[in-house]
Amino acid sequence: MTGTDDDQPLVEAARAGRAEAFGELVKRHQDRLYPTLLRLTGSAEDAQDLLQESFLRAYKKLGRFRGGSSFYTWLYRLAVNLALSHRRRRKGPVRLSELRGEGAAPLEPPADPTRSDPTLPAEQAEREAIIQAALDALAPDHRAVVVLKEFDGLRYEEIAATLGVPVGTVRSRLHRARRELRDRLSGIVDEPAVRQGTPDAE
Amino acid sequence: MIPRIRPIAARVASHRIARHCAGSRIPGNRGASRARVRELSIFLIFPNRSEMSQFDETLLSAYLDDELDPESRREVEEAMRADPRLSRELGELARVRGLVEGLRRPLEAPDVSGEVLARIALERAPTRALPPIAAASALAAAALLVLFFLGSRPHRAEPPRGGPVEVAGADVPEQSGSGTVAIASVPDRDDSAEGLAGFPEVAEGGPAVGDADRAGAGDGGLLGFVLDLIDYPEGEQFEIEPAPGTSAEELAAGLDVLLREQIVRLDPRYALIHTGTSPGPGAIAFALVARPSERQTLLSLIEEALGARPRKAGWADREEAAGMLVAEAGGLTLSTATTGVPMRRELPDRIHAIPVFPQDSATSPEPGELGRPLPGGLPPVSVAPPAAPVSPLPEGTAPEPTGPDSGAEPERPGVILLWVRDAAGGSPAPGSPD
Repeated sequence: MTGTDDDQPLVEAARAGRAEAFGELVKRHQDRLYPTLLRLTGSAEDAQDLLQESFLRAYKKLGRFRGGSSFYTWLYRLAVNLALSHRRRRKGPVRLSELRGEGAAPLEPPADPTRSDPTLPAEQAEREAIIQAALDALAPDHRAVVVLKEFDGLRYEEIAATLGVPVGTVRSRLHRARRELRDRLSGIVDEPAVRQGTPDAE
Repeated sequence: MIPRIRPIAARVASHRIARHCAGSRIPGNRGASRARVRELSIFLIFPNRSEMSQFDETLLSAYLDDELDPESRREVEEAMRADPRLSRELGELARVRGLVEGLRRPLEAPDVSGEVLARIALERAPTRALPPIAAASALAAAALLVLFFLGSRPHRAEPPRGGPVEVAGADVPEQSGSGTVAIASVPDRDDSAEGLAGFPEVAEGGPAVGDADRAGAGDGGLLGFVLDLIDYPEGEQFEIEPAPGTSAEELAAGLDVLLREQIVRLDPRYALIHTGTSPGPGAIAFALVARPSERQTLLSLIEEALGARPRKAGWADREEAAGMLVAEAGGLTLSTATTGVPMRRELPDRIHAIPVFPQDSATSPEPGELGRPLPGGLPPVSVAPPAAPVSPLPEGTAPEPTGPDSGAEPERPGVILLWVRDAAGGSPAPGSPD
């Protein structure tokens, strides 16, 4: 995870009170940040709200940004933790996966068909919807490590730094999350690799 | 040495598992059955768990991700050679990873730069000081409501506490009392160091709101602070709308009196947040730090006291609450029930050190003593020793409460925000009851 090297002049200008410079930072980084927030929250509306909120908080805390990391890395950590906080506090039915000690249950495809890409063949779309639903059902902490690892491609150390947890915790959360996904997606995982249409990493 | 599964034992185990599961299989719940079978397999094949491998299976994921040092990689590979189950599991984990990676595709992001800049501009907009006349009007309304609520409130065994409260100075010691009314409006932050003098509108016969903090020009800190309140772990949002015939102003003023006079009195955990400097969307909110065990009692007391005056009361949406704040960020005012210190400066201490409430004496209770119950019926809770110095919140995170390790699961205090809004979504502007 790297940031844009030439962010610093914009950061300095924003600190000096030039809001338009901060607007340029928003335009520069919102496209990278939004997918992460969408996958962490599972809701386009929530992700957009959190995107705004992340930038607003970054602006307010700009004085505390010391440049030890890139601006994007700093912003990314802030946004991920904001999304995690949001998701932990979300009202609504408690998911089975959030009930400690409950077994994992396979999931039906989500009711919202807009989560699937309409351009995909129906079978693949349904499969992706099931996988997405399994991801949605993960506990927030587990979902976070999966998103940061599988979608954003972070190394364990980077995930640990982002979430403020030890590397060993990242490793165990990721392993438990994958096992839970395996149990939820048993029907798909047990299919021959040829039918899955995805590269088998084994 | 990792024991190998003997074929006979495995067959026996499979038979016993099949019999066990035959009557309990849940249609369509293959994942749960699979997990159960796996668990039973482990138990039946290794009834004595000490026979199980001590291999740390989380290493499998790290192996898959190429996150292991050479020695650990060798350890994993040896374990897999000795136990085919681990090899199978690695294959399954790899397939899971492939399935999730298959979801990766470019996503189109919305452009939020305009909204972000608009919100920044809102926060930087200059605020209007509370006009003295409006403050006096609010005071008059509050005084009326004091009588209204005091006359209608349920009788409580504990009598109201008396004694004056000074509010003009910044270093007034906390004392009990209800004889003096003061609504303090604080000037913009540049003047706030000594800034209470001259602002409090003082009258007699009502409660006191002591110090206050106000979002001034260029100050986004107060908004951030209140947003942090909303985000604080274990917090709750509660929304109250007035019934027809009751204005939001009346309801808010009555709630303020109820909280300060009957429930928390001069408890430093209480704060009043005003938003909105003009008629229109906005809200008045009351912030109160409470433990989970206190919350239901608190809400029951409020419901009991307000009777039929609210048309609706229920849990509020956090995002909506934040939106109300942001919409009126320029007019944000935060007042605490105590004198001397605005809540924002002390909140982390209050949350972490609940319930050290120096309400009746200048000395804090000794660690381990029971805290005195909050007036109005909130139960006593155990006392934590004074909190360690509070460090700033990590970027983008809420802190984990720290405190003494008592051995028992500690109750995590949180912030209850009570929002008062009218049915149309608007709210009273502070100090403008007309």
